[in-house]
Amino acid sequence: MSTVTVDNIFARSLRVALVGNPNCGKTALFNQLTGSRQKVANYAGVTVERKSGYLVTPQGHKLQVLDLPGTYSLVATSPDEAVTRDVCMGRYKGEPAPDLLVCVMAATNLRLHLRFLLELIQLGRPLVVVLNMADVLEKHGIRIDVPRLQAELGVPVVTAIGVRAGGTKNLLTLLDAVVSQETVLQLPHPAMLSEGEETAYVHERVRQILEMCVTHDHPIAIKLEEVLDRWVLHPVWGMVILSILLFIMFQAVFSWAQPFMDMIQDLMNKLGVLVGTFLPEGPLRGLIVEGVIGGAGTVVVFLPQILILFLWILVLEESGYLPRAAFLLDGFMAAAGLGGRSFIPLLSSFACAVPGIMATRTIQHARDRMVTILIAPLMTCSARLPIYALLIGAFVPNKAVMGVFNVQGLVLFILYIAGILSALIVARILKKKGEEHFLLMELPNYHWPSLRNVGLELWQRAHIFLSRVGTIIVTLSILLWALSSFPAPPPGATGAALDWSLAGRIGHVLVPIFSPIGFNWQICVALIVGLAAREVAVGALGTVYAIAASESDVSGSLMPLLSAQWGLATAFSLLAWYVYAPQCLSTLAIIRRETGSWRMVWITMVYLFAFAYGAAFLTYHVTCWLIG
Amino acid sequence: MLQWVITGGVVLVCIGFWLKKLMPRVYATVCWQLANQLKRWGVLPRLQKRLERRPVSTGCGSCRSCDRNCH
Repeated sequence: MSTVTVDNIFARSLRVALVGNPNCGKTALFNQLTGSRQKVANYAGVTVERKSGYLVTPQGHKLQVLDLPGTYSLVATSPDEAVTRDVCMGRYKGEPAPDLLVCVMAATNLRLHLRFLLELIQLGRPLVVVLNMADVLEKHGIRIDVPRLQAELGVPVVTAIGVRAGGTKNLLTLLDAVVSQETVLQLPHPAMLSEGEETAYVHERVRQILEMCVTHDHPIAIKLEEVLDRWVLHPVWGMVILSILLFIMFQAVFSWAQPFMDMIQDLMNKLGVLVGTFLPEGPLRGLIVEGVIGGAGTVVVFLPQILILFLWILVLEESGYLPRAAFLLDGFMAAAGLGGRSFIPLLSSFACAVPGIMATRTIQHARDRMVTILIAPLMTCSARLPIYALLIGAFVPNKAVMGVFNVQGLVLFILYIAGILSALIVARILKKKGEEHFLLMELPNYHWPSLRNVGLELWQRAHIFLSRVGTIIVTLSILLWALSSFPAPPPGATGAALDWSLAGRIGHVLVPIFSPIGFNWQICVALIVGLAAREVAVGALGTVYAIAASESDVSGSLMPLLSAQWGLATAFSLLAWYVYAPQCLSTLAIIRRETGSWRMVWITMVYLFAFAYGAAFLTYHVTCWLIG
Repeated sequence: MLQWVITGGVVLVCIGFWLKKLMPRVYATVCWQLANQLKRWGVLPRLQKRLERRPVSTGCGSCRSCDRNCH
C-alpha cells in the first residue's frame, strides 16, 4: 500500500467529504462538526445538495467539511446521487476532489453500508470510516469488533454518535492525527476486478467481514419494532392509524392554537390602541396602525397554528413513521402512476413547495420527476395555512360534531385532502399508461423524537415565518397601505375614500375577471400582492379592511369584519381558489431553476390558474344555489 | 410635516426593498444615480459612498447551499 502525499494537501485547509448511504446520519454529523443547522430527518433523501462548512479541530486545524447527498452506489441513478459521484471522483465542476473521504455508516446496518464502502475503497482515495449511531448498537443487540474491522478494511475506523453533543470526539481525534501526520493514512488498495466479478466480490467480502467482525445478541428493540411494524404497515390497521394521526393533527391545529392566537391578537389590538394614543392623527399613525399592525400583525396571529402543524410533522418525521406512511400510501401513488420516490418530495411540499421541488432530484425517471414538480404546488404548503385559518375561523362555526370532531378542523382536513386528491388526479392524467416504477425504500429504525432537534427545528420555523413577516409582509403591507390611502378623493367626491385610491382603482379594474367567482375588489388586490407569498394575501386583506374600518370607526380583528362583509359563497370560493393558488413567485422561480425550462413554468401557471378559477367558480355557484 | 417626511422615507425604503428583489439592475442604476446626485450636491458623504458600491444582492436569489426551507 502507498501512503498519501500530504505536503500538497496541508498547504491549504484539508477538504473532508462526508459520504455514505442515505439516512446514516451524515447531516447530523455535519451539524455536530461544523455547528450548522442543516435539516435532518429520520428518512432517506433529505439532503439533495452538496453542503459545505468549516470546523476547527481540538488541535486547531481548520478543515472544510462537505456534506454530500446519500447514495447506495457510485453508479448514480438520480441527480442528487450524481453530485456525490462527481465530488468523490473529482469531477464536480469548479472544485478538485476532496482530500479525505469520510465514509459514514449506520452501525446498525453494516450489511447494506459495507457495499458502498467497498465501492469507495475501489476509488483508491484517502478514506476513513465512521460507524455512526453507536449508541443504539446495544439496544439492537449488535457488537462490532472495531479493531478487527479496521484491520479487515485497511482504513481507520472510529465510532460516533452524530445526534449527541461530544459524539464526534473520536472522529475529531482521528482527523487531528491525520492532519498532524501522527497517523499515516494508507491509501486503500483496490481489487483489480472486471465488472462481472465485482458484484460477486462485494457480496462475498461483505459476508466475510460481517462474520468476522459483527456478533448479534438477543435484539429486544428489533422485536418491538417488528411488532410495531406489524400494526403500522398493516394494509387496513395501518391506514386506520394514519387517518387517526392526520385527523388529530388537523384538529390540534385549531384546538390547541386558539388560546395562543387570542393572546397574540389581544397584544396586536393593544399595540394598535397604544400607537393611536401616542401618535397624533396623521399619515404615520395610519401607516403603523393600518399598514403594519393591520397588515403584518394579522399574519403574526397565525404563528401558533403553523408551529403546531410543524410540531406534528417533525415528531412523525423524527420517529421514523413517515417512510412507513410512504410505504402504506404506495398503492395510491401507484394508482396515480407515481413512483415511491415521489412521496418525500410531495411530503416536503407540505412545508413549502420549494424544498419539495428541490427534493425531486432523488427521482431517477425524468418523466416522474417532471410530473412530481408539476403537482408539488398542489400540496398544501404552510403559507396557505393563515388563509385557510382566517376564512375557516370567520365562516365555519367552532362547534363539535358527535362531541369529538371540531368542524373547523374537519374543514381544514378536507382542504388538505382536496389538494392531495387533485395532485393524484393530475399525476394520473400526465403519466403515460403502462409506466410503472416499484417502490424500493429503506425503512429507518423507530426513534424517540429528540427534544433538541424538534425544538431547534420549531425555532427555525418560527424564525423563518417571523423573518418573512418582518421583511416581505411588512414592506408589502406598507406599500399596499400607501396605495390604498393615496390619492385622496377629490373635493366633493362621494363614496368611500378607498374607492378613489390607486389600490381601489386597480382592484376595480380586475373585478370583472373575478366577479364570476364571487371575489370583490379587495380580494383582487390581495391576490396581486399575494404573488410574493401566499400568506401576504392575509396581510393585504388586513390592511385594506383596517383602512375601511377606520373610515367607518369600526375597530376589531379581521375575522369579524370579513364574516360581516362577505357572503359564505365568496369565502368558500376563496378557499377553493387557494387549494390551487397559482400565484407564488418563489415556486415558479424554483421550477424554472430545476427544470431549466420556461415552458414548464408557463404550464404550471396556466394549469393551476385554470384549476383555481374552475374550482372557485364551481364552489361559488354551488354554495349560492344551496343557500339560496 | 414630520409625520409626512417619516412616512415618505419608510415608503421609499419599502420600494427600494422590492426594487432590489425584483429588478436588481434597475435598483443598482438608481443607487448609482442617487450617489452621483449626492456627490454633486456635496451632502451626506457616507450615504453617497454606500450607494456607490454597486448592490449585488438579487434578493434571496438562490436556494443553492441553503436548506432553511424558507422558499
